[in-house]
Amino acid sequence: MPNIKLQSSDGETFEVDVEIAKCSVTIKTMLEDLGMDDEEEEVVPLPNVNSAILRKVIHWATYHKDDPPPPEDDENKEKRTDDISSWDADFLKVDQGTLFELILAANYLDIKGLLDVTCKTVANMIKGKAPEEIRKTFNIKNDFTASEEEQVRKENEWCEEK
Amino acid sequence: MTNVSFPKTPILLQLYARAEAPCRDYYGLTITETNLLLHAWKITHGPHAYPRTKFSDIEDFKYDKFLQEDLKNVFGDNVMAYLYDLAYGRRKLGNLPPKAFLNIMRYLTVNDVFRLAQTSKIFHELCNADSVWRLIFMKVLKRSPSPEEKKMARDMGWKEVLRKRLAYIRKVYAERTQSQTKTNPQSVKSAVQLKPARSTPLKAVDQRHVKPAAEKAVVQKPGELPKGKVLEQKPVRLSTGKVIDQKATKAKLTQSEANLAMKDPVKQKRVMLVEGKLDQKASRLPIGKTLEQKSVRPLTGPIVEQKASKTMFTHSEANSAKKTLEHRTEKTASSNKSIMANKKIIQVK
Repeated sequence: MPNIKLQSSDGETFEVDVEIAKCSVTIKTMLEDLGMDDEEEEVVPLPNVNSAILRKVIHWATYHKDDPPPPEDDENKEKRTDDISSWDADFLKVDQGTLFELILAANYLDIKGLLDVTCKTVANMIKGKAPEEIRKTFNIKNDFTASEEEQVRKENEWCEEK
Repeated sequence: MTNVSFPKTPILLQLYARAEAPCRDYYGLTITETNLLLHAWKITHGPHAYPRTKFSDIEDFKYDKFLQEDLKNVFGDNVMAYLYDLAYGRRKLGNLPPKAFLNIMRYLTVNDVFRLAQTSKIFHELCNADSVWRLIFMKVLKRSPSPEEKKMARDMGWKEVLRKRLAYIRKVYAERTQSQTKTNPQSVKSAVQLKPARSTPLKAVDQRHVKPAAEKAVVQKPGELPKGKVLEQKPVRLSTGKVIDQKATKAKLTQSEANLAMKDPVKQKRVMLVEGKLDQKASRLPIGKTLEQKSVRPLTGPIVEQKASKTMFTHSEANSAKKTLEHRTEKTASSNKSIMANKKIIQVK
C-alpha cells in the first residue's frame, strides 16, 4: 500500500496509508486535483490541524478504515445520539478543548464519520439539560438580566414541544 | 469613511448593541474566524448617512487597546471573552464554524435548542440564526420545506414561515373540529382515533402528479379506512372578490401536520409530536398525502393569481382575504363533512 505524508500546522510529518488518508474528502480531492503520483514523496500540508489533533484523527481513521461509507443524511429524520460505539466513546473521552478541535479538524478535513460522532458527543452534553446545567457544562456566563431571561424563556413557547 | 469589503470567511457571530445613555450610538459587530468588523452608527454628533466602520484582524485585536475598550463598553465581557478565545485559538462550543454548530443542532430536540438559546446572549444569537430556524422548521413539521416555503423564507426568514404555518394549521383544525362537532360528533371521534399516516415530504411538483386520494384508496388493504379523506376539502367558491391562490397562504397540509393539529385542536397552543416515529411506520400507503385546498374561483370577476414569490401579502391583506374565505369555507365545510362521514360509513361497511 502506498503511503502519503501529512504535515501538521506545527511542522510534524505523519506517514499514512493513502487509503486511510482518503477518508478525508479534503485530502482525497486534493490528491485527485493535483494528480499526485503515488511514487513521489509528496507532503500534504494541513495548516489548520496541529500534530496532537492530527495524531488523533489518524488514529480514528485507521480504526475505522474498513467502515462502510456513512449513509446520506435524511434531514427530516430525528437523529439518534445513543448509537456511539464503545470504541468511539472511549476515543472521545477527552477534554472539551480537544473535542472541539476534533470537530474543527473533521470539518476542515471533511471526514463525515468523525464529524458526526464528535457532534453527537457534544449534543449529548446538551440534551435534556436546563439552561443553568448547560452553562455549567460549557462554562457559559449568563449575561441576561432577570427580565431578559424571562422574556427569552417565553419567546419560543409558540413552537415548543410539550 | 473607509471602504471596507465584507469578510470572506464564514461569519461566526453577528451582534447589535446600543451604547449606554447618553451616547445611544448603535453598533453592529460581525465576527469571522479571522477578523472582525465593527459598524458604529453615531447618533450623538449630528446626522450621519453612513456608519463608521472598523475592520480588524483577530490577531490585531489582541493589541488594539482602543478597539478593546470600545467593544468592552458596548458589547460587554462575554463578547470580549469570545474574541479573546478566537484570537488565542481556544475552541469552544460558541466559536465553531457555522456548519459544525448546525450539525450539533441536528441532534438536539427543538426544546434543547431553545434551552441552549437561554444560556447567554451569544448563544441566543447563534441559536436564532436562520439556518437553525430552518432546522427547527423541519423538526416541528417533520418534513422538508416546499418550494413555496423556501421562497417565503427568503423574504421573511424561517422563523416567520414556521410561525405562519403553525398558526394556519391550528386554525384550520380548530375550525374543522368545531364544525364537525356540530354536525356529527361521531366523525370527530373517529377522525381523532385514526392512526397517523406516513408523513411525506411536501413537494409542489409531486403534488401535481399525485392522484386524488379516492383513486389511491383502491389499493388499500381491506378494513382500513381512507385516512386522508376526512381531512380533505373541496374547492371553495366565492361569489365575488379576488381569487386567492391558496398556495400562497400555505393551504396544503401534510398528514403529519394534520395529526399535529388534531392532537390539540382546542387549546391551539402547543404541539405534540410524540408520535413522530409512529408517523413513519403506521402506514405505507400514500393515501391522503395532503390536505389539498384547491384555488378558489369566483363566479364572476377576474382571476388574480398571487404567487408567494412575487407578491407577498401584507398582513392586513392576508387577514382580510382569509376572513372572507373562512367565512365561506365554514358553510361548505360543514356540509362537506357530513358527506365525508357518510362516505366513510359506506366504505367501512
